[in-house]
Amino acid sequence: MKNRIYSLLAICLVAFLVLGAGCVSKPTPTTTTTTTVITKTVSGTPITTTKVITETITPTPTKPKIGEFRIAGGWPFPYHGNPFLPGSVGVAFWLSFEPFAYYVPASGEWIPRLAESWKVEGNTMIVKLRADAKWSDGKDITADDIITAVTFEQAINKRWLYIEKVEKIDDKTVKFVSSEAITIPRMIELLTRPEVSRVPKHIYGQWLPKAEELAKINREIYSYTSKGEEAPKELTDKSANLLSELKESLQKFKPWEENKFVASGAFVPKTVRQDVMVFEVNPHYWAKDKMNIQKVTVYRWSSNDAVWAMLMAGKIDASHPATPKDLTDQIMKLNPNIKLVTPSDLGDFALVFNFREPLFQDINLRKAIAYALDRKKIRDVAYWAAAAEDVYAHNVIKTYESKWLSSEFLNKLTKYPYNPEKAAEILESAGYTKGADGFWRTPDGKIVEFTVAVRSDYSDWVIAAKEITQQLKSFGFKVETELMPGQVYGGRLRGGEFDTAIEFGAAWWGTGDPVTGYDRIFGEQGYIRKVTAFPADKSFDTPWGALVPQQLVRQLALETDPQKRKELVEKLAYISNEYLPLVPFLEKRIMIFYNDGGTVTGWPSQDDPLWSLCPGGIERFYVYLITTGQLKPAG
Amino acid sequence: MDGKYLLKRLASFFIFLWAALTITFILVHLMPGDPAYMLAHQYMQNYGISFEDAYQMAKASLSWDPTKPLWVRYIEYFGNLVRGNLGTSILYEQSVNQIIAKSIPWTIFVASISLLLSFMFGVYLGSNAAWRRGSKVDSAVFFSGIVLSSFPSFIVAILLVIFLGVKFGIIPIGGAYSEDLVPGFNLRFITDVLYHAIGPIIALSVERLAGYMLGMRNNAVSIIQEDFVNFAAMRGLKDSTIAKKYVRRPALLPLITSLAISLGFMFGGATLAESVFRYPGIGYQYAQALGTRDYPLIMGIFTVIITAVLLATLVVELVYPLIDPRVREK
Repeated sequence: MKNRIYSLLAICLVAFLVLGAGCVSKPTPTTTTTTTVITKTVSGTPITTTKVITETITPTPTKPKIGEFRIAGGWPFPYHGNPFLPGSVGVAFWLSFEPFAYYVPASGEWIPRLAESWKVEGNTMIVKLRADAKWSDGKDITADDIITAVTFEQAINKRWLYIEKVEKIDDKTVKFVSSEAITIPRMIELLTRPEVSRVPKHIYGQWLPKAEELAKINREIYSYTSKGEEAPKELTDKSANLLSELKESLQKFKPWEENKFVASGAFVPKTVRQDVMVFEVNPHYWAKDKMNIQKVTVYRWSSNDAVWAMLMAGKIDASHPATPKDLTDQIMKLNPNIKLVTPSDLGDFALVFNFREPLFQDINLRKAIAYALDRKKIRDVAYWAAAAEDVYAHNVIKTYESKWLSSEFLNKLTKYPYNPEKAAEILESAGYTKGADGFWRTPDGKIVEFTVAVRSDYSDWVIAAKEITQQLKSFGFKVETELMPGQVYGGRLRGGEFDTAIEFGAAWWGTGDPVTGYDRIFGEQGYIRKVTAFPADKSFDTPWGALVPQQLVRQLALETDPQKRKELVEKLAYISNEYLPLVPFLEKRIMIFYNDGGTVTGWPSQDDPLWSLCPGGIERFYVYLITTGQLKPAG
Repeated sequence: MDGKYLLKRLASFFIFLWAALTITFILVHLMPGDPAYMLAHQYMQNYGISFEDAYQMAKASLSWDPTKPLWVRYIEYFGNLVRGNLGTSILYEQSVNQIIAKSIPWTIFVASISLLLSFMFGVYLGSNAAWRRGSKVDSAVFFSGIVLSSFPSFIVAILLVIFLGVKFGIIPIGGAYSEDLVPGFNLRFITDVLYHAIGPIIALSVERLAGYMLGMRNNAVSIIQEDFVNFAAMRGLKDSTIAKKYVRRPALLPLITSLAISLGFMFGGATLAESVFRYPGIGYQYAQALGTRDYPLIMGIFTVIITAVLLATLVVELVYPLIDPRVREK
């Protein structure tokens, strides 16, 4: 009997849960009673009346409330709101803080935001802030705030150290004085980063003297390191000590917990939970009157599975998970309002070579590898939404190829379509031989044997590496894939512990300009140059004579004339394509799913250059659409 | 149970606890990786900056000193632990105790209900199948047990989200409670929390159900063939009495140990299932801590799990003589 009672109890518990589901899942009218006390003065006598307002609200779980926009994102939890603590401010970075301007890489257009105008002249840049720019607590955003922000950035994050000083011309005008010419990438960086407006002086002022002292020392250190010299030890020790002193005190500050989170951008966090973060409009935001969206709800991006489910169910209005083809079709079938756009992510995946090894110093071998790879197939299996970089290796991102390289120039470059016969021909003419075992041998008789290293936590890279390994094996090289944990990948590559590896090649992150990509590949401090040890400081024969890529990168950074910049890009593209420091195989695209018409409307057309605002800060694109009033609730 | 037995058990509890924590401490700190490197990748993707800038930013924000010797960390960790302090998280610059305290109630809530449900159903179905061995009920239980045991909870979670959440809209597709609700002790909040817990509870229950069901069935089948069960039948005892007192009770004993261990591991959360449901439990914090090499937080969570497992085992050892007369006599 007892057993039956236990079973009955268990069944009741399950039934309760399921019933609970049934009850709560359907929109249930909720009656909310609000009591308002109104005091009126009639003929000098105050009269208190009580007005009872009763309203019935019907919740609609799958449709947002009017003026709401819903996305997925991440933030540290428990939330602190301090930009200098680990995890920084999370998704609030672009929603709550505003740069001077947005730069649209696809059109080259500048969109003023916090700044109303700016002027660059040699080593100086003068920025005029908009008169109506205010912090979310109602205080004016002034030149002092910008100076404070730059000082903290130089002190703590050791960035923008080329800025010697920031002067206040008046309350709304600042002058940046640089130790070197303000180059195009530096101008883009200074104008488009929200870090310039996230440290209000009236909140962070107490740490400013120490930050100023540290920033000064860091600039001094930079004056040595920028010339390739080592800074004196006393300076670096002093910097390290001051930093730890500043951090010790600054990191105790938790603006969110202390109700001191102040935003310069369109939205301010209202609620922060582990699973959801809700933002409301900054009541003092300069563009608030244009906005049709008053609330942004950000659900935790805990996994791609969770994001896909939210897209299917219409729980979010936009998101950008990398998604397999069949799942993409499924999402769009289940939610017909969902559309997909795939703008460039400003980076490509590439096979990079280790030039420390004599094997890869042979251009014939690198060219043979380029011909032996079916790059279109690699794209198909690894990242279907990407664009295949299957003809050239010039390191101008495919989307921007026609913007920077003329067809006449492209016709002069060597093309590397999939052509194993051509690869074999190159190797044979260079003295390589293919043995009876099917493996290619170097002119000195050694089997061409190497590994393709890949970080194991990037699934698309792993698929690409396996496909590359397979293709090169079929061609006759003895190749293995080498999986490395993400935590050690960068370190091992920088230490030269690899043969070939999968990496981001020409990444134009942060600027959308080719100089960033070439600096990465050829620049003295460039990540890929450090990894590959490519001799970018040596001269290479070109139709324009002997050229040194590192010098060209420097010239490109300083040059402002569009035509001259194109010419420099062509030279760097030529060296990349003909000397193959790496073989790019696909251009990464961001897969942006957006709900058009179901919950929100007003998205730009799919060919609009504005989408190129998305890489490296997709929320800034949403903020732009919301603050210009373009994005609005559907119906 | 005498005092000597109790003391012996308590002594072994503390020895095992120290040994397990020491081994875990060493292993965790031997994991390759650099917290700044992991954080830099997050910054690079979210803020559109170069890796070099991101790494500098991450290094500046962390208070982690990679040069501190392991033995110094070990002494600090145990020194803090005896004072009930699990340390400070590298990633959040907050007390690990606080972080765990915020997340663990959600995990215990769904995990304990799912454990209870799966244990009750598992025992009930398994013992019935054993009693009717060879019948269609037995085949059905056996077959479903085999099938369910091959489904990890996160696969069940995905299926639940897609079918019950997206297609039929019966369960919510994520979160702990509706975002417009203010937590409070009221019916609306309680039902909303229960409603949001349905998916994680089912996902976790399904995974465990098979284990208890098959375990109970197999234990009971072997006991049914024992002489004392045949003797009881020959004595003319009722089937229900034999099933309950002679078969179910002894068959249940090994499962109680397994239940105790599961109770302990419950504190570690279900990382993948919690991720699919965006459930704010300890599993999420665990995944974050592992991914960013937040050593103090990883150790904090391990400390809670290890202590809970050992405590549960200790309780079982102390309670076992009360349940099993054979142990009592010994």
